[in-house]
Amino acid sequence: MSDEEVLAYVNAAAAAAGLPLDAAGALRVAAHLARTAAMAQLLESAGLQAHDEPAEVFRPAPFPLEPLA
Amino acid sequence: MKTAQLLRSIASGELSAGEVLDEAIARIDATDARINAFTGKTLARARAEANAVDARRARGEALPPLAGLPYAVKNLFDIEGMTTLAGSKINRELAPAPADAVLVQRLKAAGAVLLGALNMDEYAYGFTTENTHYGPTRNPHDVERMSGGSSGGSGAAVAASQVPFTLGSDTNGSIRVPSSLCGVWGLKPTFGRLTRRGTYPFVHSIDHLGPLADSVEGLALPYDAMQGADPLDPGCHAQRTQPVAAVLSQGVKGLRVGLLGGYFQDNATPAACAVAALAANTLGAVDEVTWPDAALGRAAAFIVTAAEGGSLHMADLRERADDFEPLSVDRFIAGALQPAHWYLQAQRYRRVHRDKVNALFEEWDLLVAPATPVSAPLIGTEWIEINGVKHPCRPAMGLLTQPISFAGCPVVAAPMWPAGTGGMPIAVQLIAAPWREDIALRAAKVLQDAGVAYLRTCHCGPGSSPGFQQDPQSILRSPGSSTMDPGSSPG
Repeated sequence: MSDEEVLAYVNAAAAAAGLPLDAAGALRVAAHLARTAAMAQLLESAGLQAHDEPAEVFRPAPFPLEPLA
Repeated sequence: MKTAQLLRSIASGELSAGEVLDEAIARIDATDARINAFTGKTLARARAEANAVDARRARGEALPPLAGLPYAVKNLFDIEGMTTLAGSKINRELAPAPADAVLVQRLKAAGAVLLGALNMDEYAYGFTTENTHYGPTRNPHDVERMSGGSSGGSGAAVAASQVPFTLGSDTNGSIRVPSSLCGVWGLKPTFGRLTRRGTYPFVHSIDHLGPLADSVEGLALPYDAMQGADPLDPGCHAQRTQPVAAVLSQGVKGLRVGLLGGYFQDNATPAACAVAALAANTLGAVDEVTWPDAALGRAAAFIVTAAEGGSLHMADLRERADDFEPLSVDRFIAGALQPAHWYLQAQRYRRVHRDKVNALFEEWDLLVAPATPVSAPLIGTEWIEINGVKHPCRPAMGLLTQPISFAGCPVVAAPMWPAGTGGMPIAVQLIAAPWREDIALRAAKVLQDAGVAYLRTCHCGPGSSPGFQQDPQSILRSPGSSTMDPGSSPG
């Protein structure tokens, strides 16, 4: 993304998220997001496959500490 | 007197817990105006806890393992009756915590004496503890320099000899970076080893807790006291305790030790590379090893951190962004605006990364790398240069720690003292496979016993000039003479 595209994205996404940003704030946030965008682009080279599931901590219930009856 | 000797002296009756507490309070009073490590003190509680230890000894009872040992905690740990600030202004409005964090409860049961809460980067989003609301925590070895973060108060309090150990948190390096910049020992355990219940979160997917201390024993003894399962923390995966104190002196004979190259040398100054090489050599490293896709691991950690951190604070970012830390609020907002694809890609990559790292540890037992690219920069530094490449200073302090914590591996940060840094320390990471804290701590003990890694006394009381006490055994030589002065970084 060009600097202008990052800034346009920040303004649009902030509006969608209900985050008020003035012009100076949007520029500062865009500078950070541009750096993150470069990292996200780097990750595109990771070669993820369809079966590479996300890391997660979700468990439906704690593992039972007592032996099964 | 360091942790092990302090505990022996209290246990034998040579010192009372009350006397040890008096000493700690005097040291805090003498140094904290310059260091700014504490944001709140619990002196009445500390006195009651110390008196309880002395009363037990007077009754002839057996004392618990940490009886009378003073400590303090990063101010994201709940302390009963105190508001949990997490470095923020906004959290001042919260009610006082109704109970201690679980780890604080366990330390209390082990006889430790809590002295208070310590400064940090707001909501843990930083590596420097340049906290605008509470002031920066200053490096005890040079008060013009950063303490590191986000557990900067935890590192500085140990470096200034205010307390022998502290607790911190580490999401991307927040125990290891202040350990490195302040020259103290730090332990980031395996992800899921220690319960986080009763602490203010930053990034649920990556948050770890652990100790910083004056010695390897100062890490191991509190760590053992804090272990235990907790089904109520969804991020706590330990099913039982695995104590390490009894195996600390087993050495590293027979272990396969490697020095991390590539990314971990490309992103480190010669001084940082020199201490890693010395540690690896002392531990008998036989080869240079490549951490799998370190840059990808760091990128994914960065994205997960920004997204979860931003989301966690979305309501306040919408309503009162001006009340946030100016140094991190824009990063929080940028994180909150990331496309879902970036986050999910990073979380999917995390499993790939973990599997590659675990495969690496089938061939190696211990890996060595610098903890920070540079020694402590001056407070306010915006840019640093590493091997000719300009980096924004604050995020760059985590370049070498983020790929490791993203894989969840346990790490001991061992404080070392290279040449070419004006007497400032840089720590080395001793990295083991998940659930093998014992190996990292055994290696740390070898470095401690060899006199290669250790604390230096600092002179940081009133009227003293910034500086350190030179230790003759610490004369290290870095390769070449091109070590940069981090204080004169461009920008």
